[in-house]
Amino acid sequence: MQYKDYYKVMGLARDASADEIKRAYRKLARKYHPDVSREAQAEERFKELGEAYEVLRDPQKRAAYDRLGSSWQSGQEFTPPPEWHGGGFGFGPDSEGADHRFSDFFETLFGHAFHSGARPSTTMQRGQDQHSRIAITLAEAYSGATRTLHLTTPDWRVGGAGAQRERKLQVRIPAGVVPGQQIRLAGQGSPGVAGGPAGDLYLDVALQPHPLLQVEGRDVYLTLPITPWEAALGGQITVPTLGGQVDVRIPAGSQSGQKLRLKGRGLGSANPGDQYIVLQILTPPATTAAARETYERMARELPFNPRSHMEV
Amino acid sequence: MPDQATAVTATVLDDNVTFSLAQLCELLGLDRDDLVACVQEGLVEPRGIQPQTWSFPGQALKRLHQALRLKQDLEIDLGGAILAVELLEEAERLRMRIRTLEMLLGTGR
Repeated sequence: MQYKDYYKVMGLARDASADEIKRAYRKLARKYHPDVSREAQAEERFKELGEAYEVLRDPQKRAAYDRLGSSWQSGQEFTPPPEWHGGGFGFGPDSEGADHRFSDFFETLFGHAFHSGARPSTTMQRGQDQHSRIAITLAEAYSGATRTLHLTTPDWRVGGAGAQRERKLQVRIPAGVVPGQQIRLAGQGSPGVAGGPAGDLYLDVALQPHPLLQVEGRDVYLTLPITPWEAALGGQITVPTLGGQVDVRIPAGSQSGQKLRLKGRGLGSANPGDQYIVLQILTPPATTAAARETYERMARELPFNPRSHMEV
Repeated sequence: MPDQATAVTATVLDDNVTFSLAQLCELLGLDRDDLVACVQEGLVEPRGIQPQTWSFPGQALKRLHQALRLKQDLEIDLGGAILAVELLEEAERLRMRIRTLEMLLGTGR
């Protein structure tokens, strides 16, 4: 077990006042809150912060922690002193920290978050909800998917503090899910207490990047490269969509940046979005004499000033 | 680790799913008055006139979860939490817009 320097986690001196502790928590919580932060380690940092604050804001816990002394280094191998009585700081499932899983270091010093000196609650309570994220491909969002999730949930029914249960869930994700939407797995959160019902598991859906298609809400965007003659003369072009390839008619006289809409070919089950095709005219390189001659003939025969609106 | 996975079907919290006031109170562990305050502050908008006939779309649950988490974890009031939720949603919309525009301009990847 490693020693945790709670003052370092919160960026505080060991003689910090209660006000300074509160201010530091609020500032760092805004920075690392998983709902707010884009930093890679935000969730881990926020958990550490919550644990540090749980100790330092409580005068009794802080005094006990301070009694360990200031010579410990963060991450140093730690065993509690022989006279340490452990537990006795019980805070039940009503307290703010009840849904957090704290470190072994915390639990050794102060007892498990749920147990008050290893006395389980006898009041019937609904289990905690659990929240997680799931990243799926665009194809899976469109057609539905099955994923196996590995979950670790607290198990109050097993004796002893901090008992965990590992479970495997095979989750069927319905077709038409949209990024940012939430999926609910009823009764798959933490088990209830004293016969209470289990909590729910909520999954926030994120999409893995697709090489061709970009999703915005329910709508899907595709940049479609076309030739100058396809743009000028129009034509039928095969394009990829979520539901498979479709033929699209390019109107004659099309320009780069022009958008074509394929209604109802986006994401969503009840009210699907659309697919937008954004045309991008690509010119063939003039690398051969014949190609140069063709461009020169076009310049002569197709007088055209794309900058006329600039009056230059 | 158990070998057998339990098969479960997920419910997508979209327009097809609705919750009553009582159901949301139970799911969130909230008092009725606290949830009514969330409606009055504009965090979620139910269909129906009277609280007993209110019907909340499935997406409401995510907004409520997020606002309540922010309220508790950041030690801010409900109004501040709602403002944060709205700004986070706006930021996500703009991030998606930027990704789309970068792709269309050929600068994103």
